[in-house]
Amino acid sequence: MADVSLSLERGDFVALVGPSGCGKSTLLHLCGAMDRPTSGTVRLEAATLGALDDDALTRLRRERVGFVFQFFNLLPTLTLLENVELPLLLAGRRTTDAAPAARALLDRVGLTPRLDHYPQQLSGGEMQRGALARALVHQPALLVADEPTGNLDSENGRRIIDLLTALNRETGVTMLLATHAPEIAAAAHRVVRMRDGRIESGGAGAAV
Amino acid sequence: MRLFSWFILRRMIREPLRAALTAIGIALGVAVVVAIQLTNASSLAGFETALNTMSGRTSLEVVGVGAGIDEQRLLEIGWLRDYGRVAPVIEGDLIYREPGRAAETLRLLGVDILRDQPFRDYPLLTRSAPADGAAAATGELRAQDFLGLLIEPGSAIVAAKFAAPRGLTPGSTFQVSVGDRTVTLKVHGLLEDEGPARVLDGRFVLMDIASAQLALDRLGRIDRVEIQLTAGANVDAAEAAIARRLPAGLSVERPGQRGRQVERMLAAFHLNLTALSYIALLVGLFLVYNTVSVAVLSRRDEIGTLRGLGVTRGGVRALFLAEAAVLSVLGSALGLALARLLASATVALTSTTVSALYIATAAATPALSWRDAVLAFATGVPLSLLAALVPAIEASQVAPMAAMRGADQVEVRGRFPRRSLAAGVILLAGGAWLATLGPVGGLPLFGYAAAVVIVFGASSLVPAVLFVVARGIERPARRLLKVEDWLAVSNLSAAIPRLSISVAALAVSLSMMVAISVMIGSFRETVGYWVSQTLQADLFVAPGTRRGGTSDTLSPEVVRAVAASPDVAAVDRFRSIEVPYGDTRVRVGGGDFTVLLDYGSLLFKAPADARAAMRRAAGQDAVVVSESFVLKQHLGAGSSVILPTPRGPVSFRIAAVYYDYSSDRGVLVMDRPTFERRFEDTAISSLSVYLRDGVNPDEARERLLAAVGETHRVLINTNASLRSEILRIFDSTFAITYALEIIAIIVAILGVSGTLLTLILERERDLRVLRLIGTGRNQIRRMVVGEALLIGAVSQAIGLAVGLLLSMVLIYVINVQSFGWTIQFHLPAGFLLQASVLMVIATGVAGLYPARRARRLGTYGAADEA
Repeated sequence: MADVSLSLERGDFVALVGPSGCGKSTLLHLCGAMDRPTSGTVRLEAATLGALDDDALTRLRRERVGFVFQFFNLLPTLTLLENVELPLLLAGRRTTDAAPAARALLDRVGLTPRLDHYPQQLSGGEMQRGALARALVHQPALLVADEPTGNLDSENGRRIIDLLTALNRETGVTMLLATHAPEIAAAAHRVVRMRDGRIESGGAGAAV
Repeated sequence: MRLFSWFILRRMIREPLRAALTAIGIALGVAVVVAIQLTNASSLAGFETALNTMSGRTSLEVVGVGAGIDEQRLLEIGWLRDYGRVAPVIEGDLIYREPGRAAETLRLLGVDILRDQPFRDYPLLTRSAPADGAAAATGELRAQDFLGLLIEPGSAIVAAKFAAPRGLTPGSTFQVSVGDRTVTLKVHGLLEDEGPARVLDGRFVLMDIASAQLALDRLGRIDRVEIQLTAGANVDAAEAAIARRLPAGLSVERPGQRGRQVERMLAAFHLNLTALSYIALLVGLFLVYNTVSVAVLSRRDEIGTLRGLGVTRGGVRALFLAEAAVLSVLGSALGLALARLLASATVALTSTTVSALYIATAAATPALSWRDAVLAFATGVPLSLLAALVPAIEASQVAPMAAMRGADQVEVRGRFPRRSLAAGVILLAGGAWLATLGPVGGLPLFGYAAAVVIVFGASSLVPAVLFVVARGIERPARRLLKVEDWLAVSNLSAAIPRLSISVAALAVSLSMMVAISVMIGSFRETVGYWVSQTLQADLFVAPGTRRGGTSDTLSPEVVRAVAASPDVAAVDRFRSIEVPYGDTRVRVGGGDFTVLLDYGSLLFKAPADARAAMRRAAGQDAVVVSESFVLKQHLGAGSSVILPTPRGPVSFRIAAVYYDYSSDRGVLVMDRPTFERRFEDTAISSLSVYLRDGVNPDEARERLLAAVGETHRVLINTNASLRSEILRIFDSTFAITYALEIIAIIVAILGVSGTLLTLILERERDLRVLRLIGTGRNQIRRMVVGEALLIGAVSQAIGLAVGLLLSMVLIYVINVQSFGWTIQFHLPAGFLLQASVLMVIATGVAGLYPARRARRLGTYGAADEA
């Protein structure tokens, strides 16, 4: 990737579009504090990611970033409720504290009847809504999503987009989504087009 | 083949540690099995091959009972010459001591030197002629060479291999001990390193029979008459004919017969060791299973691709079996080399036991032969392939390209494993039933079968136990522990099918350890009690050679000197000889019943009024016998036992049965006058001395040693020192048991490490997700180590429970049937607690390497499809 400049405001809803291999995922990894840039700077709120060590990056992800992926990626050994509680527990919150927050969010995405199910007992749409709850339970500043509807039928995809839009509005979380789906691009405040590791359009904007 | 080198070999070269660990696991297992075979062979070899080579061309031999044959009886059997050449022989052990070195046993063979040539070859290296170091003449002994042997008492031919390093040349003299006496021998010639000299590693001395009788202090006695049948004679017919004509008290047998009796005597001891050695191998096989599982799991997508490219299921299976084959060939070869090293250690560990309890043997480790190589590969390779078969089949079931499409997620979150519970319960019940069956041919085969079935039963129970444990502690763990610990628990409960086999392997080795410690602990306690009850005498006097052979006797002067001491209140004179009984050999002793009853004590088992019964037995043809004898021969107090004596078989009544842990093959003791009358033997093997009241045993010991003087070499133990000596021998007997067990446990822990590694590879994506949502590297490590600790704890808990069951089988079935000893159950709780804590920590340590691997994972791939 070269010569990429992208800024997001609090509450932004940005869709990243472009053909496969254009660098969308790499950009998501960098913005999501999963990786440090080899050159250039990435800043999230007050932090400059390139200067942080692994522990600090981990803490940053734990506290400020949420993730949603194409393949849902819930932990198969935990129930849905436990999956959603996990980020809070990892951050050192007590389970008496974490459980109500997780329940509330799961209720918000309509999964209250499924709390004690394991991921493999859920449908794709349910898993993705669960993953969404997990990504937001710790009230992150940024939600990073990679093809969140890529593995869902259009009905379920529609529901996820509606939830994303609503949660963006309700919680004020900044959203950065890589997608091929025109429906998401349509719902976004801004669309950034990428090709061959460069931003073609939509890159301008104020820094976070 | 190309596929194999691309797909398997390259990977092995890239990950040498994993391949090496597996090969080492196999090597350890194979090494233990081969080493124990070598060890068992060595304790027999020292005795049996020496016996065979010393028999030379003998086809039959006439033997007596107890302390040999009275020479005068040779007249009664002069007719033996009708069947061929006849030669009398005497044998004995000489102890050679050098300052600063362990005492060595030399086997003395005394033959009628002029008549013996047809029986044996004596390739001489040097003749008695001038010992000026000039060119040594080599050749057969001629009659004139033997004249010196005949004329000069103490003249001996020794092995060159023995003489050279000690600077002995023809004409020089050296001293040896026989019983309590010191005898000076003169080197008359040197034997080449062949025949008995070679088999005994140079520890062989040849003398004329008359000189040998003098040296051994057995004037007028010979051990046997050897017969070399006339050419063409039928051995069976001759044996039968001679048997018919022999007078009472003498019998005819084949030269190998004593060897077979000794072999049978040692069979139970050897079977025990062999059974133990296979545990290490079994655990090594779990390691193979693990490694191949890891290979299969971590390469599912590659396998899928291969299948997609047209490799058949059989091809995939063959690939992974070939990997196991390569590892097992490497492991077996390494194991064979290790076995030689290990055998030196195990021979050293067992030789004390074998000579203390069974036979005096030269403790030399036999060299590896092609037979050991066959054993190594024949156990290592096929069993490894069998262990690899399950994962190899699993690999072959990967659908073409399926691994990439996420259709073959490994099963998680199983239901309660009902089948495991049912199979476990059925097997355990079967084991309990097997434990009730009697011995087969004197060996507790059903007892061992019961132990094996219990082990398999317990292994089948493992999934159910893991399920219950994981579910049971999940909630409390979540409430009470940190999040990473709770994750460890939930990982465990999800991975039950994967974990069960390594938990079972670890639990099995631990249960063996527990069972053996409980058995040994109980045994030690029992022996301690027995010693405190029966060792009542203040001092124990024995010949300095302390080997207990027929020629190890106390000189009459020594006995008189001890009895005459003013410190002494009473002396129990004891003589013990070995007598053939059925197809084995038992120990027959003569002691002073009245002294024993008035001063000493025995721990009686039966009848109720045993002391009175023993008193009545004095002077009669009656014996008191050890528990192991009645248990093995299915006899009891009141029944009769027929023993061979120099004048033919005599029936003895069993007056009482007493507990004895000094020998597992049976001891029959009669009153001294009866013994002397029946066995025509007045020699004395040892004395139990009771001191007058108020005499200090240590001071009395010094005074007795002074009274005996320099001329005789005796060993006097005080009660306290003998007690500690007995417990020392006891502990050294079981040193090998512990050593073997520790090897098995090391291999099992390697297995746990391997399994965790498998699990981490299997869960790589989940670990990356965990990292992604904010799990720190240290939290990941804590989680993996926590899982290892949990595995250790569950394995140890199962090991404790199963081990207690097995210890009952060992104590109440296997021990009783193979050794005839009653052991009181005793739980070494402190030791078990310590061992448990140590084990759990050890498994935790075994988790460190997989934890390191897990810790290194980044977040890449977290977004991938499962």
